Amino acid sequence: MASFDDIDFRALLAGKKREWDRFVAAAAPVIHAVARRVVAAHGVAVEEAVDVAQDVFVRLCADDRRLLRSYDPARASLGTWLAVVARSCAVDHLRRRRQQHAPLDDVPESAVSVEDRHVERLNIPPGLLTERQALVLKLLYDREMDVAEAAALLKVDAQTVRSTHHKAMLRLREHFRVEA
Amino acid sequence: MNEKDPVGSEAQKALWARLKAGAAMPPAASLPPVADAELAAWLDGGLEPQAAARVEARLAADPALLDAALDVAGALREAGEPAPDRLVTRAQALVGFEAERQQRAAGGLSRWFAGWRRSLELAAVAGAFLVVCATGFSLGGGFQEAYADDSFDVAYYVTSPLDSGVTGFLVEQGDQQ
Repeated sequence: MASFDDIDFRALLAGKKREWDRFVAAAAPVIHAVARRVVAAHGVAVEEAVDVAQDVFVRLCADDRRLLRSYDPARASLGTWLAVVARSCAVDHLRRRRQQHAPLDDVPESAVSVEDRHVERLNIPPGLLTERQALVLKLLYDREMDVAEAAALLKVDAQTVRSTHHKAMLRLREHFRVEA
Repeated sequence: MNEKDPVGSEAQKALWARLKAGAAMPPAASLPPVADAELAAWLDGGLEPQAAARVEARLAADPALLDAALDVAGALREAGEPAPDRLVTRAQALVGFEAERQQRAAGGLSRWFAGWRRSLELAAVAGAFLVVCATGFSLGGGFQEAYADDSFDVAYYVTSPLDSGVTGFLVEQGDQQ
């Protein structure tokens, strides 16, 4: 299988056809995997994942590869960055498609609102939990992930997750005991 | 949660639920948004602690961003599965066409040549045709050989002296008239 390590990024940005072909061979599995997850989450047929992934590639080379040029190798690996960007593009693609196909009257107001509607109001008093502790509780309880899955996402070992959870629970107990 | 994990008892879940339903706090929407590049860096574990804490605060409060992070992490695990050939073929075709389009749109000398390309091609074909004709004609002797043959015939009849047979025949013809 093609690897991102073999890609000459400068030649890719210069528009060299051979380098682009190698890049596509390496990136297609990642981008297609993202597209599959996004179409499944939006209730779209899995066959559409190819079209969604193709749209991601179109965006990557649009405007003289402007999106690809924004990649900074010092911050993240190319595979991870591509997966994040591909997900944003795929969600945007499906949102545009839904708006094109649905009559405006049928689109809920919340779907076309520009308000940041994704933010949940978590009632955690400031300073009660650290950001990491809050995220660990969220993953374990709201997303029902197990310790190993949470540890993999956070790039830490399972014992660190358990320890973070334990400290968070101590703080919560203390908080509610004082409050009561 | 995995039953083997020593975390996640019912009492602990209840505590978490109580926290979520607790007193109001400053709106989580006031948290700064997280850019794609920043999320990618966090997923790779490449952020400084302060920047990582900022991303994690948003992740804890923003289900959509957490969905994105979990999707990406899952997709990276599944990326060993090959993509369909038709996706690879279609995506690879993008740059060939793009480069060609950019070449046409390029300014300067290349643009001037692009405008005259058809005329130059016709001129080249016509020139090649002429070269082939001229070469063939030269190999066949050319004008010089044809002219030389004609000159020989005329010179033979005009400039060569009449022999006695011919002159005798002419004299006889003249006498009869």
